[in-house]
Amino acid sequence: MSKSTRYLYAVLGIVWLWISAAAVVPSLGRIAVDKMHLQTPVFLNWAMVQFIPSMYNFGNQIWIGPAALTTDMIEGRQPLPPGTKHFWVNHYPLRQTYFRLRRDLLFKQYGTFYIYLKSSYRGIVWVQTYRMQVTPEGWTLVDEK
Amino acid sequence: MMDIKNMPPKVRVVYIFVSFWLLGWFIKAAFFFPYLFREITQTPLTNDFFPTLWTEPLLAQGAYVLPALAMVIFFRPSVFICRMVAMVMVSCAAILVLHQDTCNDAMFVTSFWSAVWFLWLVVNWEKGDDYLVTHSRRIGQWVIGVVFWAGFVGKLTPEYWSGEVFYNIFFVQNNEWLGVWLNTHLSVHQAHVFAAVISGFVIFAEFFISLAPFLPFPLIARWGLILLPAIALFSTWKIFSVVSCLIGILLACRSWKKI
Repeated sequence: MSKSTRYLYAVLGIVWLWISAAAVVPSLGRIAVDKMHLQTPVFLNWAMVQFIPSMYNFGNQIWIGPAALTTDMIEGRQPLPPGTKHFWVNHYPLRQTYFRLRRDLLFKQYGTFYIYLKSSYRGIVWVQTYRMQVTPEGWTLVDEK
Repeated sequence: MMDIKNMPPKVRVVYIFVSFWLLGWFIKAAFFFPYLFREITQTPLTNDFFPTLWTEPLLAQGAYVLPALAMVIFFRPSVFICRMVAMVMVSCAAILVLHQDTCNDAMFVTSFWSAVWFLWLVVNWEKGDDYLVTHSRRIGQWVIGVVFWAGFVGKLTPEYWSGEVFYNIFFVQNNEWLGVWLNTHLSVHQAHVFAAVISGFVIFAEFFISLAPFLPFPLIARWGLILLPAIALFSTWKIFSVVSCLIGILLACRSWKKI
């Protein structure tokens, strides 16, 4: 067997094992969610994990609106403020904001908008907050860590 | 161009795979061309998470368009051209997996891994036919298995088992033909039940396909070529952008024995 063949089997095997472990090891699930929420601390680490397939993974939701939300609002115990939109997303929930034609139709005025991401997997829930500053020059996504 | 039935098996494998890879890559061109060439430049997004290079519109634009050059393979299927094309496919897919404006689209991940399969094939071109047939199929099965193992494992959560994700994405938020028809003809309760059933079907189908590395190739080829298009047909046609390259691997590997 040639070296390239052996290496490719090895790489595919490692990726398969990683995916398998993510089902039972919470820290690996966290890595997967951080990837989708763009929260991986080091870009190079994010870049490596990006090549692990993750289509239609986890229960992902996003809330986008002009007002900050409380935990009760996100959990559905209180109504959402006017103008807040809520979506379920197959993966990478932030894509609901920028991965579209006519970005200008999402934020129809300039100002600050609040974005909440919630991903859940086997009883564990991760929530991430962002702000989107919308100006004539474009959008700026700010991490609300 | 040669008749596909009479061409050498290696060339036929290349033609079939590259055709389906390009089909998947450009099937959403009606979205990606205006998105990459107008949207991300007119309304640029600034996000400190990404190093500057990975936000450059020109990088994404070039990476999306360059694979079109792969069509030269149909006129000049030399080993050198095939290797150059394979490297372009791998590189362009990798760039778009990491670019700020495209990193969220699963099609670039599957395009990357299937391009890696193709690169392996053309690098090992001079190996004997038996070697190529055996390992191209086995590696292809591993690529497909890994993609769907990830899909299956990621759905091992109540949100998918209950149908909640599918109900919201394909009923409440969906304006594709199936979503519109179902919303018109089903009550809310019926829609929830239907979504749970479809979710269960998709999870089962993904689990079966994820067994690809461990099952005989003819079985995976037959059922993969039924289930992969079915998954796209019953959710959204856009999923062809993700699965077309994998269908290409199956069809290409199956064609080895047809003379």
